[in-house]
Amino acid sequence: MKKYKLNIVAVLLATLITVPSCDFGDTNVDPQSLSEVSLNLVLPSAIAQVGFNNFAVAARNPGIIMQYFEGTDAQQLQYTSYNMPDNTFNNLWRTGLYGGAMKDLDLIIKQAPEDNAPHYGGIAKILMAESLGLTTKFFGDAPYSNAFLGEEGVISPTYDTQEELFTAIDGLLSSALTDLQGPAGDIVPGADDLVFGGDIDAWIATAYALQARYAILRSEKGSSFYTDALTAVNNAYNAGFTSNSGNAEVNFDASANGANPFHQFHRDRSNTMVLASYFLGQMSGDPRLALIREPGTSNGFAPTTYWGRQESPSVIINYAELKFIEAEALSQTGGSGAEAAMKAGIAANMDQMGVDAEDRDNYLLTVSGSSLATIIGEKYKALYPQNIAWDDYRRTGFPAITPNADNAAGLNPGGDIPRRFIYPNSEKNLNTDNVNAAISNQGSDLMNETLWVFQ
Amino acid sequence: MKRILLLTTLFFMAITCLIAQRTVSGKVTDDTGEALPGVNVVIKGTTTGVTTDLDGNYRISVEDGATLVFSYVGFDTQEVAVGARSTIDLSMAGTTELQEVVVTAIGIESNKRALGYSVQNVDSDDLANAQETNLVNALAGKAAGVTVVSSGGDPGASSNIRIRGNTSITGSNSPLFVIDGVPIDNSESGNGVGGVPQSNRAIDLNPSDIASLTVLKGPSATALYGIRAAGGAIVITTKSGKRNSAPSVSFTSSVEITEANKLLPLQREYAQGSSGVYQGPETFSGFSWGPRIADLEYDGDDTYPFDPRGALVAAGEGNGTPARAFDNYDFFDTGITTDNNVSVRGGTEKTSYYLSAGYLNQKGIVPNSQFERVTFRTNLSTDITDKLTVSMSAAYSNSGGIRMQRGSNLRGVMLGLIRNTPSFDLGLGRSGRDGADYQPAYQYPNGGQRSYRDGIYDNPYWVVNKNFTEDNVNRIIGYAALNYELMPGLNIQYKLGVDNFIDSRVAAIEKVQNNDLSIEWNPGSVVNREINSTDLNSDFIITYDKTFSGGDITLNALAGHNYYKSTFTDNQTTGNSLASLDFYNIANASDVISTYNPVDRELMGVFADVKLGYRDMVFLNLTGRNDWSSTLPDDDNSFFYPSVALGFVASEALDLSDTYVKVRASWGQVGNDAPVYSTISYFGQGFVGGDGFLTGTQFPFNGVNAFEQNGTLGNNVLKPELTSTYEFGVDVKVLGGRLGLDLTYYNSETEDQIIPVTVSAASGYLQTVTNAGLVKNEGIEAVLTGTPYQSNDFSWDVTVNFTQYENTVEELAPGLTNVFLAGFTSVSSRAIEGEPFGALFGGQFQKNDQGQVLIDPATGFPLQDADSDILGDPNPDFLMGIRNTFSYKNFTVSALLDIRKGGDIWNGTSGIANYFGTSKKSGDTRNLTGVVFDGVLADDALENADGVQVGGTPNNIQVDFANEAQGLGTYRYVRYGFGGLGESNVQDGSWVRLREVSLTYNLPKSILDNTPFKSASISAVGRNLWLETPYTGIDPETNLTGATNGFGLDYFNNPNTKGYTFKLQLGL
Repeated sequence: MKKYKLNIVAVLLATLITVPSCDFGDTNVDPQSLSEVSLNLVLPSAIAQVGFNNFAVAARNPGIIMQYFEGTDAQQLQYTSYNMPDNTFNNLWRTGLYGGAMKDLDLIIKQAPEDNAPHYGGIAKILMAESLGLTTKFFGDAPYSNAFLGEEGVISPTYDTQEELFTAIDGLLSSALTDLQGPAGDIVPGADDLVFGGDIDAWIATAYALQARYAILRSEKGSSFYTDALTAVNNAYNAGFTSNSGNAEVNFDASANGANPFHQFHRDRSNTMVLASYFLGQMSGDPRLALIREPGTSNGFAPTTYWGRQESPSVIINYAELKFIEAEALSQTGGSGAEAAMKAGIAANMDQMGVDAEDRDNYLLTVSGSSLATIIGEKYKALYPQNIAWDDYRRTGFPAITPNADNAAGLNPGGDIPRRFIYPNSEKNLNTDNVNAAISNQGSDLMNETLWVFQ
Repeated sequence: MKRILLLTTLFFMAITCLIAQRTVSGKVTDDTGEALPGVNVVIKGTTTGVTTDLDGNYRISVEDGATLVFSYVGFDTQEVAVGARSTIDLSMAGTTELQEVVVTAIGIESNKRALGYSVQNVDSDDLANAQETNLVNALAGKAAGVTVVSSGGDPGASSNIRIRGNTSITGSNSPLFVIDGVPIDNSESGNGVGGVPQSNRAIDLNPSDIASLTVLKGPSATALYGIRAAGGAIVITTKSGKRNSAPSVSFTSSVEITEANKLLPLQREYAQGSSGVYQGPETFSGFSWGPRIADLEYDGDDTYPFDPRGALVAAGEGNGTPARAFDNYDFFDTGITTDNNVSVRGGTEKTSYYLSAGYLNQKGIVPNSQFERVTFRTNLSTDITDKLTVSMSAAYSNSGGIRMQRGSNLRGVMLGLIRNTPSFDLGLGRSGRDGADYQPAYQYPNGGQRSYRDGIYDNPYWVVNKNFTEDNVNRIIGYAALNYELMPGLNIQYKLGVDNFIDSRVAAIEKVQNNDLSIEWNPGSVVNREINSTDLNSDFIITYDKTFSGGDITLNALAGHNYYKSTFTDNQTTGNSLASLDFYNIANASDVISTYNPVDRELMGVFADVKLGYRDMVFLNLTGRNDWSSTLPDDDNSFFYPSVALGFVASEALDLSDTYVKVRASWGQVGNDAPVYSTISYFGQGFVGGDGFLTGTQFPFNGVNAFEQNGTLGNNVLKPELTSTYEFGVDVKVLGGRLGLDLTYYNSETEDQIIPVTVSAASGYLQTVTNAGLVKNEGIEAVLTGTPYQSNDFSWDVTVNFTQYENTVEELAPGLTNVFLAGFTSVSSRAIEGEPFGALFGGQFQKNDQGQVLIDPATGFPLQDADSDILGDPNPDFLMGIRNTFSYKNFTVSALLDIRKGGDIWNGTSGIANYFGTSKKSGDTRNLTGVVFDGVLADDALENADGVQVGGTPNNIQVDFANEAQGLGTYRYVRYGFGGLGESNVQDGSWVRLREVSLTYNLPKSILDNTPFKSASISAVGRNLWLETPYTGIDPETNLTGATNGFGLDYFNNPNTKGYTFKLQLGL
């Protein structure tokens, strides 16, 4: 009796202590998601996010600084006095750039060789270069060489200097050209390429165009960058980027869900921001004015405007910009044809927006000269609402806008036009040591700090 | 193994057969006739004995001439000679000590004396008398260690309950609700910073069905419920019938009138506009920084769309009708709640039953808001044979209502109400429900919306007619249980419980256009959502009760197996861009997106619990449980956790009479598993976002579908997290139980926390689930009970519940110092290393090394800091509930005073109202001039190597709060941006409130004898009648994000209420 009892206890204890794992089958496999994807399913998501980024907060806030816009209410009014604290760009950084488009672009870049899909890799490298460019021209130093290694356990990536990032951008674009100019491999993009529908030649031209953009962005670092820009512009022309039909644009959808970010801003944040009086003043008498604002108002986001329709495109880079880069590089290197290039840029923009040909030609008669102030002043109008205007201002000081007297002195000491954005507080909380190292490398985290590329 | 069992069983049976001469049975009750379960019945001089079952019945085999010894903790031991009797019923008298039976794990009733850990009962009458729709609210102030914060005063609003604060950073900290041994779902879906207030699902319970409620606090108490009780357990037993009793019918009916109990004061002096200049609704101006309303008059233009009296113009330029200031809060109406319940209970010789039905209808203070609940319950128990009892229970509820938009949401009721300028007549002369029923107040004949910014913020009267969410929840909770007495003392039980609900919601946002339809502000949307949740819970338990050594040693042992499966699906269809007005069907939408989100999890556990008692003096309790969870990595999903508790009744050892002293100590662990689907990385359907102001775009888009890498980095080496708690307590009762103190100290550490830690997005992921972090939780709970006066006619009872705890986040993951829990990018509640759990974090002013604010020498205003920082601690310093009950003859007066000391709240509402110039504060301070801010002048020359200013010259610069000449952007309440800096709006949320006061009159027998009623009472109850708090907004008992782990946030939360109830109870 006693022996049996002990046996039972022993058996029970044994079951309690030596417990094997229990098989629950597929209970813990998410039925809503995939555990592996093919590249054609990831590319559209990455492309759409790049397009969204360019026309959302990354257009609006630089646009406020460049006096395209002025806030009338709530946060937009706050931003207008340069009060853009460390919570302003968390969403852009986390779910727009790094955790948005860039993580998927990185995945495509890494997976493309395994899948023998070089054209996917090439497109992803172009868009990665553009996203990285946007990041560094806003904030300065940023993670790249140590980024996207979460699977390998790197959850606090170090920052690269801005100089290193420009090298990385150059490398991505030239590597993209190699990929796109080589054999197509096993799988090629088609309808999943929301920009060109699989037209690889158009992507090659885009890569050259971006080389031009990132060359001229470094104009303060030496005049050789003007030469580089001209070379790249010509390469783009030779690759077929000779009209608006080569524009790299993401088309949005005529639906509430798929609407352009400008339209979404109109819908979700009605009337909290209008076109700024400086910009309206510059556009006075310009035939494009009627297309960028709702008639009789200063509303630049309304569905009646060119950029505020649901299906309006968002620009990655367009032909007008190429012509303005050409104009500036020619004018700064003593070449001829700067004025003609500038006028071609204006015309390209007007044609894209659907300005009447006669109005266009009349306007072009009023523009003359090829001074830096004139070229950048026209570029400011033609590249509305892209954030390129802020890059140009920080390089050239044009257009000569006057800072808002209401200045958040704590964030933008001195009260001049801000020269960078403050790092998002998510990085300060989650990647503290590395962002602090980047801040001390650059001087401070305030908006009056001049970034390396503009020094 | 099988053979051993068989042999053993046979052996036991043989022994039983040999000794059995004849059987004696009977029922043991206390002196009030209530059955006493668990009484030891031992044959004197032997070790043979049994214990009584749940109904107090026992059956024992005796030899002729035997004497039975009946003993039970807290009762005088009695010896009864059997003689020739075969039935011995016994009524046992209690000793001088107060007795308290508590329900512990798996529905086992225990005497509190025998426990080595802290538990507390809440009186079921106290729950019913609280007049709360939500059972969770009814617990406020009634148990030490329990914190209850309702999300607001909306009908059916959720309420957040915590036992001993928070321990898990991102897992659930809510206690497990267990009804009659079946764990039920108390989750909530859809409470964010905006939207409508949703219910937590405990609201489906009818408080009047509850017979007893026990709060199990430490892991010693909850180890047996497994990991789902990691946050403690609320163990509820519903009412049941008694065997051999005539049917008794009970009827209760109550009516409560409610009104808003506290609101943010608004100014009624200044008109819409900016820098002293009037700007009417047609200008879309959001501000109320215009001229004095007294300096304006109407122009009499009856075609003016915003007011039939005409537009406002400067006095002297109009028709002489002076402008008026309106009170926005006229919008609120009185709410009415009616609650009717009827029940029948009773039993035959072999069967007992309880049947009930209830209907509650709550109309809120926000016009058109409503919550309804219909409940039915059947509890049945029947003896199939002498040894086999079957019980069944089924509870059906249908609940739901009309919920109103709140919070951060341009459609929110409070947002529209508080931002509305006082010169705009929201209701066109009507208020409350009249205004809501008066269409011209909110909608023009052409369909456009009438509001103070011509459609930008919704007119609240529009909201309550056009933007609402209807929900309809059908729920069934039930079980079937078998109880078989294998042999005296050895029982097996099997219980299969199911909890299923289907929550169907339709959320409507009407298309918004302005007065002349020239602008469409919002295209409108309709969301259909259906949540279907099924929890299956199976328990197999063997219990064994035995006394040894003539009753000196008692043994209560159990072993069991548990299986739990949760199947949850969330089906959502969102339709945007509505074609027609007033048509809230998905068919009215021009583009439609569907999502389908299923979540499954399974858990299996085996457990054992052994209680040993020695001479009613020393009690030892050992438990152990092993769980297997589907959410952990496949090859390592098993984990074990034990507990031990020791109780020592010192007064018994010292033989003290009239005094009861028990000391207790316990240590226990409880495990916790991972969130579902966290062991591998996934690719989810593509979503395009990255801009907090925009909705973003969901794939499919442009005719293409897409996927993207999910934000969560999978972790296939996750370990279960473990909370270890030790606890010491002392329970003292003196003066024959008239004064008692139950004091508990506990200390718990949760290690290897499974934290979905937010990581730098540059890693390619937004978060990963990892074992990291350490949260410490230390606290004191005290329950003081006393009867200061007692006579035949009059008694005065006092109960004080005191709760104090400190929740500290000691460590997070390597490289991670700060985890977002809830809130906004501007101000949020977070877990920050070294700080109290839930610390408020947000924008602040620049400070010098001594913490003095730096003043801009150029403007004289404080300088804003580029970095956010910690702004406050939302955890209270302590909580105290003091209940005084006075009974005189048939009258009872009871009052519950509820005190909360400390606990910061971000008053985001006030920040915005100051910014827009609608708050009373902005009105009272706008003419202040010559103000010198406290602080020192900023001076770069004084900065140390870290860039921190050392010392500085005290500020002496005089500034104006609102200098019209310098412009709106320089105003004190505008210059720091929308809503100002978080630091300016964090306030002390302490309170003292009269949570409940009630007067009850029980009709005396002399009157009842002439009626068919056996009992009758009438009561008047007041809820929240008095509130004292330094908080300047609504009632500080509020939380924007419902039962999430983040708290202390108020951003246009809907107000709380006070109520006056009249209640009638009748018994047949």
